[in-house]
Amino acid sequence: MIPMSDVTTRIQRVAKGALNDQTFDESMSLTDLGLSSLQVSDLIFTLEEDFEIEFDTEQAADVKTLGQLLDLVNNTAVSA
Amino acid sequence: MDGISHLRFIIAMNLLPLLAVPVGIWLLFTGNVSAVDLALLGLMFVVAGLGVSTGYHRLLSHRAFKASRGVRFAFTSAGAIAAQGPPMIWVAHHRRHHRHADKPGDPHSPYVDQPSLLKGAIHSHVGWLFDKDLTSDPIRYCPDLARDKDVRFISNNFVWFVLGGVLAPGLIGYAVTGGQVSALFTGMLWGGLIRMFLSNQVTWAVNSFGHVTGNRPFPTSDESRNNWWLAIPSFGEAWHNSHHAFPRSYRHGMRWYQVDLSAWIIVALEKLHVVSDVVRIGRDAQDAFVVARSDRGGGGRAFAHDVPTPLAARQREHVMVATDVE
Repeated sequence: MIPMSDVTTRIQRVAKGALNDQTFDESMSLTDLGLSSLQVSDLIFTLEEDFEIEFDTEQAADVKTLGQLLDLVNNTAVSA
Repeated sequence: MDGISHLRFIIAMNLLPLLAVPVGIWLLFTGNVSAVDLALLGLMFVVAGLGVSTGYHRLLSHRAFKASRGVRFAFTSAGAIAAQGPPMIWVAHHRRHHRHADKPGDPHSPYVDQPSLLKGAIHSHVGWLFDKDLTSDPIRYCPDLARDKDVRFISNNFVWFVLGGVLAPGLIGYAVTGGQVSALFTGMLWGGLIRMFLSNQVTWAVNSFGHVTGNRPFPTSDESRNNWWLAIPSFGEAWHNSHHAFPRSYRHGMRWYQVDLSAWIIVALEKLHVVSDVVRIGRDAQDAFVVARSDRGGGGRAFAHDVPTPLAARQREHVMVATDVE
């Protein structure tokens, strides 16, 4: 099980410091956090590389919230 | 880079080159332009032009050939220098353009939701760039590039490549004139900003004129058109109707007399074993395209698109067909 903190540290990294003081919860939308489409795709594919998994790209494109992202990471990791 | 930050960048990247043009004209008329300045303009126009045409467009957007990591990085960097957007965003918009060409969803059609053809042409030329709400999701449109670390790196550091593309001709001018400070500035002006203005106009003309005027040898389900007069400065991109018919083809000028500098470069690099897997669409497939659509008259945007499955939804065993976009 990959914890949320593993995902949020990567969100802070792609946001280049802009979200270092942010508190996160699973209902938060990635775009409301201020991430651009470029930053979201950077985040998604950095997670792929770091956890050595391969997302279904259609499912990845449908991710809106932090909770959905965490589910995608864990479900893909389990089925890998 | 979305929303307001995107809009700020677009304004800066349009305004600064535009302001540089009258300065350049004034320097021309006062006899203060050197051969070095013009050579730098030509050099950087070719670098940025091939970066967009061969790199961003044919290599990244349509996978018309394969290249080693170093060559891919070089072409993508050259495309970034053109200042038309990070590669992942440029490609996402462009693939979306093909999938919805001249129909709702096309980011820069002259025909969709436009009150007149003139306003539509202006929208497709430059106006669409200022839509701060426009996004084409890279995950959906270019997962292949988003999985490429180098393309992500160049996308994330795009502004530095643009600045490097302005500074480099200045430094070259400074060096070849033996350290003239004025050459540093005029090099940046001609090889950087004025080059940016000219190469942007050429690319934008493909989007505007390329869907409004010109001929349509292939009855595609959009309004794409070939424009011979734009072929040389656009490095072959102006054979836009042929390109919409066969997006993955390495050449857009499908006949020997249709000048396509980008295609010539790709063939030369293939002969040197620098690039491989060049996608060729034979004359038979071209003729079959026309015959299969012979009941359409000249085609056009009234006809439904028949574009194959998007890359993001494609199975691994997908076999390429002539009309594939990516």
